[in-house]
Amino acid sequence: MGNEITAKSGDPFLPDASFNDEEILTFRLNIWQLLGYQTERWTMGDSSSVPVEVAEELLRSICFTLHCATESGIVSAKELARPHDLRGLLKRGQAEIKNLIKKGKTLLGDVVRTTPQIENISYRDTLPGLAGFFKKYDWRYFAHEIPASIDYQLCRPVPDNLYGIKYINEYIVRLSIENRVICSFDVDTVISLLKCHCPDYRGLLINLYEPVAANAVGLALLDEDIFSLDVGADRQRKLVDLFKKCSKDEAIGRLKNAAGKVALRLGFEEAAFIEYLRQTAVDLYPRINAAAAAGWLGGVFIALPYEIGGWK
Amino acid sequence: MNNEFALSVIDLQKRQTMAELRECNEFTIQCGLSLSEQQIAGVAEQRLSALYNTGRVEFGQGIIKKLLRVFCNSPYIIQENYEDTILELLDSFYFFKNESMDRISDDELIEFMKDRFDGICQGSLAYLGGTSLEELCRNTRYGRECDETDRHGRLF
Repeated sequence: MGNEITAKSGDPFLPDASFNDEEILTFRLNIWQLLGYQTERWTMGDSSSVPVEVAEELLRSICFTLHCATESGIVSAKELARPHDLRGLLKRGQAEIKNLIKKGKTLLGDVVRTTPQIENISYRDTLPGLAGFFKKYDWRYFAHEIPASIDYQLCRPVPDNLYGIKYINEYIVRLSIENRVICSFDVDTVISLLKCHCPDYRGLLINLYEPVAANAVGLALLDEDIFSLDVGADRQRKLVDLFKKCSKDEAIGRLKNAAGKVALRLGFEEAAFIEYLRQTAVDLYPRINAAAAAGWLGGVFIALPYEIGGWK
Repeated sequence: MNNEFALSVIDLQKRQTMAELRECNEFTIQCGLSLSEQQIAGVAEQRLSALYNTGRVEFGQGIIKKLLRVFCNSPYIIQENYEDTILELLDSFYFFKNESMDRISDDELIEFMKDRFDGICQGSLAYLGGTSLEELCRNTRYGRECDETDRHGRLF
């Protein structure tokens, strides 16, 4: 039968609260009224009906906005299931989104300022794409959408359960961390490393941070100078020996420790930064495990074939 | 709370539509038209079914009241064909709302339907749906002016 729309699992999630049956009914009625209000504004009063696809998108946006309000603690989720007009709550959710937009713009400014001086087409194209997001983002009606062209792949992708401005802000935060790691090293050394990692590092869709972080972690594991970024054959052999003796838990523990050392040597103390580096290091484990069994870690930690200014 | 839920207030809407149709009887009776309780239930049901078939969702009071207020004084609607005409008009309205890609407002579409129904269509719903509305939607999509005359250039 008509006039029915469904919010599916995995959509911008609904406020997380345990409602009883009566509260669920009230919540649905509240949301329905809110959806009618938003639809009327979207059509500017010209149309009382909209295609179901539009209604579903408007509904997702409402859920996302209310979720922003409840998550930030402005209102409790239980408030949504009280018989009353939710327009006030929607406005407060929108105010929260506007704050996130402001924060996102500042973060993007930082990212632009700390962009590594390394040429990469996908990175170069992504920055205007991120800036374009803030022009195209419709926080009133489609707050959950991500109208941005993002080509550059992060080492640790943003989780799929983030939408709209939250996705973009998280992407920018992660990109900023990656930038700061890359910029901590000598740019020529990083370029040499990237050339070994992927000869066409300028044109292909690769992540610039991952090989840098992996080599830094590898060197920290051996207590060597991380700024050299060179894990040559000797060092690779030492790493193979190191990991062959370790159980999985031990190996992951060592990787986390090494990531902590890298953060310390780079002089970064923020928890988010250390955690990102740690997770990057932990993500290396399956590759290290497989490669160490074969006795060669050349695919994980990269040896620089030449020094700046000449071949080794 | 479960992440999946169907947002549906069908029963409530059906009751609202029936109440609106009863209210409509108060002014349509002046034109000699009214719906019985059984017919009211049928129209309310048909409205939901038309929305379902056209993939649309309607909020608030909807268009039934507007539609009846505009069409009740048509010389081509009599008590005998009143219910059938409303049902057809509802179907056509939502269908052509989609066809026009929502570029025509409710009021404009209803006004156009009434003009054509009483004019060139001379009460023929088939003509209205098959030619006039099709033309309107095509012209709307391509941003062209609508020709208000028949093939002999006569303006109704």
